[in-house]
Amino acid sequence: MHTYEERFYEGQGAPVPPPPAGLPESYGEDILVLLMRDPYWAFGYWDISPVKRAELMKTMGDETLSRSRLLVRIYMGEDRTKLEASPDLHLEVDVTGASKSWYFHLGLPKRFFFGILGYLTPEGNFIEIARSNIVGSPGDTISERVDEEWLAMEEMYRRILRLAREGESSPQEWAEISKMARRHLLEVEGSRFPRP
Amino acid sequence: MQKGYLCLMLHAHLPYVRHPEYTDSFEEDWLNEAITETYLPLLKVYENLLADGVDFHITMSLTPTLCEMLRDPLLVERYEKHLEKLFELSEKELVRTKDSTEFYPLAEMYNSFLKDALHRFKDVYHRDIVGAFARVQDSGKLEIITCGATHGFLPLMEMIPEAVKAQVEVGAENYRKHFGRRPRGIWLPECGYFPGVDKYLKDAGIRFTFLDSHPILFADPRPAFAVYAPVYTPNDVAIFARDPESSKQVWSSKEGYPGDYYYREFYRDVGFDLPMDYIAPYIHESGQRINTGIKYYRITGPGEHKEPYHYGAARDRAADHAGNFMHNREKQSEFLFDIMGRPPVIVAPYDAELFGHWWFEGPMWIEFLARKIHFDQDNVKMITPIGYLEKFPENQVVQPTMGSWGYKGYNEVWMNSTNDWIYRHLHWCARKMVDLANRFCNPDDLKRRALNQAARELLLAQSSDWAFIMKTGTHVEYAHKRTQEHVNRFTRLYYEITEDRVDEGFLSNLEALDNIFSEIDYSIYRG
Repeated sequence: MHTYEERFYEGQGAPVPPPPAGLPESYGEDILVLLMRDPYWAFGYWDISPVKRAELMKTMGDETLSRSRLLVRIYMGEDRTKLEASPDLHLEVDVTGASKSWYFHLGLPKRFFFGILGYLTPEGNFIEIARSNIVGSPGDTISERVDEEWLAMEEMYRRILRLAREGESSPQEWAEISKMARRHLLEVEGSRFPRP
Repeated sequence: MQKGYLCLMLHAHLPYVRHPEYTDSFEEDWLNEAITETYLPLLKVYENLLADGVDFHITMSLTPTLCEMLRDPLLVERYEKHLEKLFELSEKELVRTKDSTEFYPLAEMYNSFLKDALHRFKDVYHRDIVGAFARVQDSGKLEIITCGATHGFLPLMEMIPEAVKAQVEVGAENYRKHFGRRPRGIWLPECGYFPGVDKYLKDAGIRFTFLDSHPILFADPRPAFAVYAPVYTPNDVAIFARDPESSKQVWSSKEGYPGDYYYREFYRDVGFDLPMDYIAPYIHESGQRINTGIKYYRITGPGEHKEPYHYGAARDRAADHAGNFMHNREKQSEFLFDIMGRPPVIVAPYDAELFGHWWFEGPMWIEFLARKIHFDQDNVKMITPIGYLEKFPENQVVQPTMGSWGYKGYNEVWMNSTNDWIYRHLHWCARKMVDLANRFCNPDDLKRRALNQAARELLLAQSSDWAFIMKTGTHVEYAHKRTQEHVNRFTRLYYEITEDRVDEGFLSNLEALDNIFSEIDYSIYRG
């Protein structure tokens, strides 16, 4: 059961226990999955199947494969359509080694991303193994886009935003917001807000 | 003159913690405590208000896992025994405290409270808590909504649409099983929203849901009324966003009402305070001390020293706090009404178990609040989301951003170094469940049972509670065990189904252990 404070304050847990041992380490798939953690960071996990490894060893040779680097390349687009049509390489992370997951600092809210897992050979060839799902990073601030039929008041909005983050106000604060709104309404045409 | 509306939303949820394999389960006590301390007291509040003609309007989720447990014969039988034992303890407490002027009145209070709980549970509700809530809903004062089937955190399963659809649709269908009709609203587990989830809600006939403040404040385009009017998503689902101020007045562990020094101290319980030879029959059978719910002290202050609890003083504080809460909503409404030109809706969502279980005086605070709003002023009225939408159907269309009501506002509580390892397994199971549903369209009876059980195991593995527990660092072993068990049970079923060798004994055992959602149809996962 959740305690009420735990919703707001980070848990004071003991050192992180390792995952239970009784689950498979691998499902034998060629896979890369991205999950957004917040507006700036994504978590990714991946796996390479024994079949794919055998195929790579056969086509690349043991030595080339052992000298190749395993990379996750992350591509970015302003929207899904642009990402699919002309993805920009945003980030390249060397994940060679034992780990099969990583937190990627994408750093850009309100963008779309996908990743490609692959080997970069010493000769500079990139051999794709798996392509991820597309993820969208959430917004972290108020939208610049206003709906002309529903005009919002910038300053009032920012004040409410501050309240949302800090969660406290006073009647004076609301009075100031209200006053600000009245001033704003006198200047606005075509809004659905009533004119004072 | 009426200036605004208060939408009080109580989210009642517990993960599915039914353990027929144990005679005394720690986790089943979560349910026992919640029934005695939260659900029965809330029912009493609603019934008192109805009896006195108070025009209150409250929205409440009863999650599918909770409804299933509340109507599970084994858990109901175990709860009744638990309550009888607790009542027996309260009788002994009358004897033990008979010479104490400070504690005897409290022992009497608990004795009377438990006697009433036992009477209502057995004789009035006939052991059916869900039915009792349904009857309050029938009065028109309570809107009960559903939730994801097992409280699965939807933003982290977005890439498997069938899994999201199943959480929503199984939840909606389970609501029909318990309440006789489809739900009008849903509480998204952990308020977890991602753009596109509204399509699944619309497909399930859901008309409204709730979000935290920032997914609406950061919505595109900018919502003109911030969080004080609902918005519609691109798929016509109305979103009601949390008012940060009213939330913090109740939620905050530092400044919130529940921390008042006159309120009952949660962490001083006779289960821990009294000698073992006396309390042993009322704690865990292993001898491990547990909370009994009988607590004699008030918060008193930040230190270790605690003064005896005084019910009358605490009740007065609850009345004061209800008055303060109402006054603040009145002021807020007046200002917002001036800005908006229509009454705002101030949305105040809380975990239901805060009321009564954590904050003992919480249910009486709700009762005072509803009475004061009804009798003492005309500025603010209580309303449900549907009630507000009927009065104000025209609302802006925006796309909320991804978010949750967890710490930091996004997905981090359910995806961090303590729990990120679960997603590889959950996603594999979900993808395989979709494969199963697509491959087996007309299975024989045994295989159909196995397919339905596989769906149950997947859903149980997906409960956001396990990741949450891993993050908070308490009961971690249990959360690990549950994740591992359900993933492994699913995996074995998957291979038995695909290799056409379903083991009926194993399947029957799972059907008895993880018996949730008797109505489930695995074909919901068909893509």
